[in-house]
Amino acid sequence: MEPAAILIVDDHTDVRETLAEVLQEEGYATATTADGLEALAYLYTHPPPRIILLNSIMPVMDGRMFHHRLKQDPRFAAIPVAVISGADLGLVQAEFADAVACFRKPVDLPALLSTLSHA
Amino acid sequence: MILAVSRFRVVNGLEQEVREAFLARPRLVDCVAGFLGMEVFTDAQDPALFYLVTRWTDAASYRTWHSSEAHHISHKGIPKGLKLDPAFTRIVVLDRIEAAAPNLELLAADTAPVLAVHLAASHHTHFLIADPDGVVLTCNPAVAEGLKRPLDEIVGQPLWNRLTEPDAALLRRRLAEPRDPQERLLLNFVDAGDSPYTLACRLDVQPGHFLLIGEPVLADEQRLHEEMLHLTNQLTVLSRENVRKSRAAEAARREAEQAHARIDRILESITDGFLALDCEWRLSYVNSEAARILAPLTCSTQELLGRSLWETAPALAGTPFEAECRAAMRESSPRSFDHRLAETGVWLSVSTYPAGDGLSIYLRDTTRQKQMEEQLRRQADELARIDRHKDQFLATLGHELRSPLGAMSNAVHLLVRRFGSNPSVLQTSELLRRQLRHAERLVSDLQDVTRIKEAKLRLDMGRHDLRTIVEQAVEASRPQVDNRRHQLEVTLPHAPLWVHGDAERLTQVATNLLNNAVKYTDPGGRLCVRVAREGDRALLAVKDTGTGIAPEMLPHVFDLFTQSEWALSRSEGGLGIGLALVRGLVELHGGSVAAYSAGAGCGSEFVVHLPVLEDE
Repeated sequence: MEPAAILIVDDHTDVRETLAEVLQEEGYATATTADGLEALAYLYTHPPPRIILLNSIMPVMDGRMFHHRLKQDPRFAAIPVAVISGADLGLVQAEFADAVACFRKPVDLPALLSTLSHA
Repeated sequence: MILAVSRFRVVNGLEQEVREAFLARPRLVDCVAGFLGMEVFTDAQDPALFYLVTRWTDAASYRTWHSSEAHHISHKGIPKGLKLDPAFTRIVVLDRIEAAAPNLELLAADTAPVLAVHLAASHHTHFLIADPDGVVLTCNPAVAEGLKRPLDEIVGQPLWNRLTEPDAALLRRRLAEPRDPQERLLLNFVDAGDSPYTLACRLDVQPGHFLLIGEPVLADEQRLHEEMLHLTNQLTVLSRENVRKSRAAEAARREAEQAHARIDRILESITDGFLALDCEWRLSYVNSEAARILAPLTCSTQELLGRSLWETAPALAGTPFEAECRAAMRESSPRSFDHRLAETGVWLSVSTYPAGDGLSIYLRDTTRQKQMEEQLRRQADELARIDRHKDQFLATLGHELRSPLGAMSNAVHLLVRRFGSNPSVLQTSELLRRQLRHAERLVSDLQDVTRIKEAKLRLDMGRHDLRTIVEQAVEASRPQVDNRRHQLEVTLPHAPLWVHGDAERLTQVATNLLNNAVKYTDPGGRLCVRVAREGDRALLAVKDTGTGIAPEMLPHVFDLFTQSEWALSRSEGGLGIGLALVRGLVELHGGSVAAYSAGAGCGSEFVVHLPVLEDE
């Protein structure tokens, strides 16, 4: 069985793809989606990821809405979420109170890898 | 004219002599002033009855003659046996001489009238006749009484001996050079007794004789005269007083008029409208500006007087203006308010003052001011809109820049991981990392300052030792300090200096100040960081020997995006955010920050004060 992936949700293609590459270099399986709606579609059609790296502000469905839908669905509520945002960290932490971690772009990669190793 | 008729009876059969005596017109009568003529009539049935008719210019002349003639006749002994009939003296006042004729005829036609002469001696009129040398020819008994001497001792004697020296000289002068016959001479006679004899008389100079005729000035009269004089003087004083008072009253009236005119002028000249109302809301005064505002169609302010304000300006009735005015009148308290005239759109600034039992109202046309305020408000709104737009843009910019930075940062990580064995790649990657960190710091500052402005910045408050915070900042800035070969001196207190704040943000404050000093000081400069306690405040001062701040820039150094021209020309210029962020963060901590510099090239010092958290 395919190992559980790290789902990256970010509308910025280069961020999404470089981050995926970095994580793959570290040995993680990754999946990428451009917004909350795509991410939900991924969840409905794939095994649950081991963690979701979520951007907060995105078109179509933003991080908050996606997070809300996620927590409401018992199938996905337990999936850990780490937020990676360009916004003020304090605000992000307040908005995503049950996130396992919040990072600000450009993300501190050693810190992120540390979080992933514990997730 | 006076027509005097006297009746007398002649006794002892001397009728003829008496008649001749009268008709001879003795020179005495001739020389009496005011004498116009004399007629003698006899009674046909009684030849002893005589009627004497004399004509005079005035009653006073007659009365003078009346007493003297009698005296003269009796004393010259002209007709002995003349019996006087004092009961009969008729004085007729005639308007004209011609008018006397019918009366005379009437008298003549009367039942056998016999003319007589009433020659009673007078005690009121004094007269004396003397020849040109002053020898007394005759005088009446009144004069003898006044001189307290018998007639014999007076008549035939020179008059001069009887007069006091100055008055004798005066009389001689008048005789030599006659003056106005109506002149009153005051002659003091030398008398034997205690009471003085003074005659207020007229001098009548005739050929061959002169006559003195007048009234004595009695002691009583003198007193009376003096009293009169006193009273007159008093009256004069009083009248002067009255005049003065009336003048004062006049002056006061004039002054009041002038004051009124002045007030009028002032009230007319002031650009404010002014109107005064009585308690019935009638206009008792209105200046032209008020008239222009309230009743633009009125020709003159005068025609408004006495009219009700609400009639004059019906547009005001039932408006808040009326309510305010009525409240001011009712409560007798001044009020100020703005009012817009609905018809003309004119804005008024209104002040009302209770005055006596009425109201004074000042009106100022503030339309222009209101328009300007409105314009300013619109401009301010527009500026605020633009400012919000700018903030929004900056927030978006900050956010949007983070994604490329993130992507680049990730890419650099991949480069190093994949090609880190190549020293060239490693070196270039390190440069990229440094520049990415710098770019990220700029973006962070930009976002922070926007957050502070929107009051959205969250502080993680705690108890921290300011020494530790500053040490961390110094540590963080050390590479830049060393890079520019600055000499850094750090002075910290021995004891902990506790402050309540967000450690990360306070470190940011210290770092920003230190980086600022590094940046604006030429390599090899001297930087001093000092932490100390000043009373209940903690002090953090960062001093440098750098470019300093021009005086005109000093008030603006903490403004957002403010940079000196000099700084703009430097590669390390930045966005002009650092100090604005410092001020914002310090103020969020309840502190203050100030900048000091003696001028461009003189270095500068930034001083932060924060409230001290007392030891627990």
